[in-house]
Amino acid sequence: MKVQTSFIVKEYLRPKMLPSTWCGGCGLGIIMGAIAQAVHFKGLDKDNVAMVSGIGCTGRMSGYMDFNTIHTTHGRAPAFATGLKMARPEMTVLTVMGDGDAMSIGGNHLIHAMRRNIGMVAIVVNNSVYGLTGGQTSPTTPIGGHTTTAQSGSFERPMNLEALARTAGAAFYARATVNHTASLTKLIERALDVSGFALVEIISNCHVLFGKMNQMAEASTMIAAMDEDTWRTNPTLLRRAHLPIRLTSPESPSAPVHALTEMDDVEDESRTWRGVIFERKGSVDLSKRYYNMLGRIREQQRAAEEMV
Amino acid sequence: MPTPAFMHGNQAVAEGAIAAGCRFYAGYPITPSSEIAEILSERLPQVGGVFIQMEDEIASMAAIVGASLGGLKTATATSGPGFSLMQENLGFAVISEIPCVVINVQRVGPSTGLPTRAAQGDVMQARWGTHGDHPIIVLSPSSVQECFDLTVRAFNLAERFRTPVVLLSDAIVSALREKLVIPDAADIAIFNRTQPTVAPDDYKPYEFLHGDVAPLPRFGDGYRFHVTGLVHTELGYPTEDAEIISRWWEHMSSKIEDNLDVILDWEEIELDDAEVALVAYGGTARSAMHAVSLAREQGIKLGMIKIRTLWPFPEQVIRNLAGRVGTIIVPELNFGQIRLEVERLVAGRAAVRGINRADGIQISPEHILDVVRGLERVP
Ligand SMILES: Cc1ncc(C[n+]2csc(CCOP(=O)(O)OP(=O)(O)O)c2C)c(N)n1
Ligand code: SF4
Ligand SMILES: [Mg+2]
Repeated sequence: MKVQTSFIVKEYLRPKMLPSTWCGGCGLGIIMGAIAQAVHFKGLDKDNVAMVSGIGCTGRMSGYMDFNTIHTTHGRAPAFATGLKMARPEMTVLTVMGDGDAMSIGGNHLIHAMRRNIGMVAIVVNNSVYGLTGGQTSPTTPIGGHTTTAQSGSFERPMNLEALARTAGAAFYARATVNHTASLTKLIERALDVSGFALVEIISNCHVLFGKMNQMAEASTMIAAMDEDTWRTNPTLLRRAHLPIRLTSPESPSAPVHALTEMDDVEDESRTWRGVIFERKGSVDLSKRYYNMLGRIREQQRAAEEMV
Repeated sequence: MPTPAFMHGNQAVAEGAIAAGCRFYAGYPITPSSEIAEILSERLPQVGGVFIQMEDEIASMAAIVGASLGGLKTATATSGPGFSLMQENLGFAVISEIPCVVINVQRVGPSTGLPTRAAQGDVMQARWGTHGDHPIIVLSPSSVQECFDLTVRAFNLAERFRTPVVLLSDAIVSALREKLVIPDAADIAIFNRTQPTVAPDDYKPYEFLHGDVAPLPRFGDGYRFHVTGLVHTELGYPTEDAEIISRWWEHMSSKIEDNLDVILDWEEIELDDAEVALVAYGGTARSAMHAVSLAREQGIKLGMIKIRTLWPFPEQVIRNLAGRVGTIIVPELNFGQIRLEVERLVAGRAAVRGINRADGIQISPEHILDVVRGLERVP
């Protein structure tokens, strides 16, 4: 099921903020549409939805969407969102971050938001690069991937966000891509049902920077590669945690990979899973637990007052 | 009935916060501020408020801005190293005009410095710590009573002018135990941020008012506005239009500059016939006041100005002082951060001297008096 784009634009976007600053063909537009659709299908009241974003191309999204929105500082979105959620536990909070935002500068905030299991849907747009600042290496740049700060190919091991989320205590983890739009929307809907910290990692394309430097200058080439490089999750087939997606060009699969391939302790997984990766049953959002505690304290106070 | 109480400065800050209506605290422990968090972790749940210990001071500052947008009065407390970490999101609160209170109990720096020893070395960081030009309000208490009163005032000013307010305490007043009087709740003036009366479509969250601020509804109240750290239009949308930016700057500075009568706060002590004046603030003002009474016992015409609003600086008060006394002495636990400000304003019309130390030892009243006497001996 999909609603008309014109309806999404009218209902969920801010006309005065458009057109966006994003490049033509950027996956971020698809992601914004999927978020709007998911909110729509869930029947959420816009007044009760907050979008808190960091800084980056991804971070710009909060400006375009007609919710209660905060475009925060680089990496700090989970901390701003934690304050908001604790103050207004009844609100649906969407925290939107880029890969650098979430895993590099904001890594600590992300870890602790997951540990606290604070109720929010965290959208991490993984385009393997720092988009806004001009294509520098990010914590998910694959080994060998060319960036403006890894001219001979990146030689660092990328972050395994899935494993991090699992150990830090996130309630839910799904991976989607901008190629598989129907499941993208569905996975965000699923995340919206979670009580606690629900993370949706979305593989996106930055064809103008990362793509261009890695023989995938066309958005369509990059998006097609996402189908080649990902499998849909199958509950019986869920394997151990994987490296983030390795985006190789379908025409020349080994093209970007010539730097430091001798780094032999790195798992070489050419495909990665999409779908719901894990979900912790019985998870309860921190803000809910906190307000339950306040309720108990209030009861004790009443009982004490009655004694007097 | 006003309640007499006996407590230390950090406790008075915590109680002042509760009295002012603070219902959200996020912080990260650091000496000598930690008691504020410890006390509020007990007090806030008692009044239905939120206490959360964050992963660091960057997150603490972020959380109090997020919670303030949720409609609560919010605060965090820290000391030097944590205050440095807060600067990034303090700037965010400034530009996005979100009320909140940041308490910095100063210790000797830089870096880990002397963690348990008092200093006043963050005066300029409190003014200019975050990058870029910006308005800010900074208050400095010198007694346990003022810890309570100025904390209430910090919340009121934050709400009134939609700005972060820094309460610049120090390890002298924070640990000091003395009497204070807690007024009846009904007698404590409380200001709450104004709420919009227009329909959501007509609401401008950042209206460029001259000398005033736009109302600020809670998230979730139907106004669905945008908050950003980018320079923005009256609707909160990013802009690079120089004309709009100049109107924005005008709004940002006039909301403070046009309200100095409300914001500035100082006290004149024994100044009428004074020939020499002390200018002091925070913990050091205590020694200065003592020095004034010692001097008066000995017939020395010493007076003083105790500054409670450090920023914006009470410029006219100091300019006027230059015409009234021959010498101004500024004792402070740093190497002259406020003295330079005083010199700038006095502009040669009176002699200005500093008494400075930053070794963790307080400036004693006798030390101040010695300096004053030394002046008298100069022909
Ligand atoms: C404290 C700080 N350091 C650096 C920057 C510059 N900066 C802005 S966005 C960005 C990286 C963005 O990359 P990512 O988070 O992956 O988002 P994308 O643009 O790819 O969506 C950087 C380094 C900043 N804004 N703030
Ligand atoms: S630079 Fe990359 S991530 Fe940013 S808008 Fe363009 S394509 Fe998208
Ligand atoms: Mg990125």
